[in-house]
Amino acid sequence: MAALLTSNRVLIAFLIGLAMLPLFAAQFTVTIVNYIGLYALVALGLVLLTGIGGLTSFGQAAFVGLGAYATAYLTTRHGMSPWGTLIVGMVITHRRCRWRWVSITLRLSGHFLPLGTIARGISLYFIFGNVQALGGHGGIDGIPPVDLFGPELGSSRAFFYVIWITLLAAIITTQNMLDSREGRAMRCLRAMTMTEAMGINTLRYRMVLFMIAAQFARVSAGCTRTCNASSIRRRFRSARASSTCSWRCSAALPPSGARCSVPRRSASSRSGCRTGCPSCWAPPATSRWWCSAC
Amino acid sequence: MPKLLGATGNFEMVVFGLLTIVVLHRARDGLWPILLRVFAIVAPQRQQMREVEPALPLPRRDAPAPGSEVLKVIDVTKRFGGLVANNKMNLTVRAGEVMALIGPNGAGKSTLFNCISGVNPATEGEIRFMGKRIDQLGSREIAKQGMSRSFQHVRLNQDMTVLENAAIGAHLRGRKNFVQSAWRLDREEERRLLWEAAHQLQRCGLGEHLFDTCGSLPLGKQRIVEIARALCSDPTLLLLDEPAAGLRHLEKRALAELLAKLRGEGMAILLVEHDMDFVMGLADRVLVMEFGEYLAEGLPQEIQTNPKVLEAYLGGVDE
Repeated sequence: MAALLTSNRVLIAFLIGLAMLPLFAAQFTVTIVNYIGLYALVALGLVLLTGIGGLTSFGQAAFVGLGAYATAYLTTRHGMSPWGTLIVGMVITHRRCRWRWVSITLRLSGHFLPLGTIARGISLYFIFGNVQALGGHGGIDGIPPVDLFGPELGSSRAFFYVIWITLLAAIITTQNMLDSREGRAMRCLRAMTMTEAMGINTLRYRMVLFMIAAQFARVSAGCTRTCNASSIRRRFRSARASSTCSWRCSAALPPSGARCSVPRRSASSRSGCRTGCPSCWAPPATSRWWCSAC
Repeated sequence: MPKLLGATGNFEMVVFGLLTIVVLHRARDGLWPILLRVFAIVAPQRQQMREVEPALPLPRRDAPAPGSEVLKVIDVTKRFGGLVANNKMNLTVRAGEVMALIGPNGAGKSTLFNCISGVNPATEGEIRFMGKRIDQLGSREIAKQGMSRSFQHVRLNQDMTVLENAAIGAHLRGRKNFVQSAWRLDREEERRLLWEAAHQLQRCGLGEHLFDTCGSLPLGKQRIVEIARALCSDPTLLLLDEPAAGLRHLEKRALAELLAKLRGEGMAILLVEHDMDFVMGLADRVLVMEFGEYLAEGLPQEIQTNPKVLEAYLGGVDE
């Protein structure tokens, strides 16, 4: 028994199980596992930031928002490829991290750092909500789905692989990074006097950690937006094909755990009736959520 | 739940909230360590090869000429508000010399150390290191110039191994950045850094503890790890704050031998110590401080018979 189960074998078994999951599991399960992967990426950034660097950030949501909006805006208004937006978003986040907030925020010490990050998160929320070019509080509609190697990545089953490969790559590179000269410096950031006396620029490493965490949050958000956009688009297509508006898509009914109490603002634009949960984009589950056009 | 309470609502939030409280109470380090513990029983990890690979030695700094002035402290005053912790202190350390700083508790020895190493800069006065003024520089810049120190209160990462802690000292001797290390493009340099750290630890007599976590070592040995870490930076001047505290007799002797060897290699050493046997046996010159002020300076034999020093330590000779 002991010889059969080594940690490497368990890891390989886990990876194989993960790779096979979309082939067998129900749509609902795959969607949930996708969300686990997406949130795990944000959490990985927080592990680095708070667990390793000892920095408390309540403003990670701001970076998720920044990433989501960058993807949404660039794909809808400038017709950019969603993959391109990931890179552009990374550059924007990087710039922002470096010069705008981080160098100011990270100089805050004690309780002021968490407070500063909260304030930043709130300020971005209101900025996004009030800029008309970004759709105000309603957000941006009509994000094109992603295609990978030709066929459209329409299903969450296909997205499953994108998300989990990204996540595993992030975990491996993070582990590599922590097991190095720079990683050791990061792991000692809490003992600032000592690290500075050893010639280590602690502000720089805090900025690096902050930036990596922000990038993870951003990539996760970019994936979430395109992933959701694809599933919405797919539902619309099937709805149009049946030439009715009753797309009570049984496969993607919102799970009871992911219930949202706020109906999405209906916008009967070119694509017809669009209602759904604002956070999970699931189609309406009860008649209360049906838009007036239906 | 809805059936039980006869109402609908987001009950899962209540459950998640309770779970969070339980986790915060029972698993402060998170769930992962618990999972790992279970995992270690079910699937024990194969014993890893625990060895440091040999590599090329790192390039070294040019050593100053023996006997040349390495550190010069001129009229340094440090005030904390109204309290004068150091008043117009002067001292000189030369290459290939061990200078000891002694004095009763609260004499301001550690404060002077902090002024020199830039951890807590001096209020007034001038400090010159290798001919350059350093009193306005931060501790990071001073470390770059080739000064390295240990701390009176051990400052090690208790969760990292002894080897990794020592390698922190060699930080400035590497160049690869975090992107390169994320993609494993830093392995050659990494081997050299770790080899250097292992070498310094072996010199300090910690060869068998390389892969132990620092937290598992007794305090005396942790101090030695601090010295090894300082040595990893290839310093010109070594500042040691009470290196022998908490060491047993044999360990003290080994430390004295090591410091004498370093002195022989041309390193300048400034140390604060309370153990008189240790200081008198090792130091070339001794400076005595009392109440933040200069009291006496000279060879160990002179200091031992100096009436002012005896008075400061024993509260008067005649009475």
